[in-house]
Amino acid sequence: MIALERIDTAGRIVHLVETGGRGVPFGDGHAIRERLQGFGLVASFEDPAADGAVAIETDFRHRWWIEAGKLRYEASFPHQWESVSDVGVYLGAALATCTWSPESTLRAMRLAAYELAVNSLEHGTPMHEGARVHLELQMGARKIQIVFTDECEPFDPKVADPGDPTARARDGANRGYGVAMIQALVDGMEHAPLATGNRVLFHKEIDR
Amino acid sequence: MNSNVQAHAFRVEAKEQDGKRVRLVLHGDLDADGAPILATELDEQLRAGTRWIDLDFRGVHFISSAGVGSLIAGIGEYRDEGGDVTLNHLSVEHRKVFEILGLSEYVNL
Repeated sequence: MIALERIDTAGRIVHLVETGGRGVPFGDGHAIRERLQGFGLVASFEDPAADGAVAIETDFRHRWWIEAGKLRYEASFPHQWESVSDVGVYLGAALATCTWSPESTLRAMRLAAYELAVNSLEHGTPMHEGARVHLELQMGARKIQIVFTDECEPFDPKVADPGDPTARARDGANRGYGVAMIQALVDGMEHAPLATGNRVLFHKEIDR
Repeated sequence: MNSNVQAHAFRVEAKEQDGKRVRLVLHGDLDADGAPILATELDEQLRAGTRWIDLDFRGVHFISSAGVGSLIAGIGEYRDEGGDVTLNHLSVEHRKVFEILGLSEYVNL
C-alpha cells in the first residue's frame, strides 16, 4: 500500500512511501496519479529518494497545519459519488490526529460529515462543471468544528428535512434518516446558502 | 491509525441456516455503498423462504443513515411475511445510532 508519510512545511511536497499495508491509503502505484488528480492535485513523479520515498510536486489542496492553537485540516474533492468514501477516509484520518478527544466524539463528527457529504453528492445540483466539495476541520482544546461547503444550488434544510424517523420506520422507509442523524450527533449546526453553493458549519464539544 | 476511522468494504459472511432462520455475519462499513449489498442479501434470503434473520454486527465498523435505512426496510419486509430481523452484538456506539434516531423500540436489538 502506498501511503502518506509526511507533508513538507510549505505544503507543496507530498511524500508517499510503501508501508506494507499501514497508513492512509493512496492506492497502488498505477492509481496514484489519477487519485491525486481527482483531488485537484497536479502530480509529476520524480525519481524515488534513497530511502524509498516518492516525492510528488503538487498544486496543493489537501493540508494539515496549526493555527491559533488549533490543529487544522482542509481538503477538497470532486463533486462525484466516488468522493463519498474519500471524505470518510481522509476526514477520519485527520480526526484521528485529535488524540485528546474521546474516540466517540471523533466517530460522531466523522459520521456527521459523511452524512452531509452523501446528501450533497447524492441530491445536490452542481452549479458548474468541475464543482467540488470542501471540508475544513478545526480541532481545538475543547471543541471540534467542521465546515462543509459545496458548489451546488442552495437548499433549504427545513424543506429538505423528511421528518420524524420513527414514523418513517413504521412506513418501512429505507431513506431519509440522515438529517435526523446529523442533528442528533452534533452539538450545534448552522446552514448558510452562499452565492456559490451551501455552507454547513457544525461542532461538537470535547468531553474528556 | 485508529481502525475506526478508515474505510472498510462491506461484506456478508458466514451464513448459518436452521430451517427458515439464517444467521448473517456482517463486516466493514454499512454505509451508502454497503447498504445496497445488505438490502440485496436480505431480499434474496426472503425470496428463498427465510423468515428470521439474525444479524451479527461484531465486524461492523461504521453505520450510516443509509445502513439504517436498509435495515429498517428489511425489517418491514420480513415482518410483513410473519418473520423478523434481529440486530445482535451491536457496539455501544452503534446502539446509540438507533437510540438517537428514536428507533431502539422499533428494531430488535
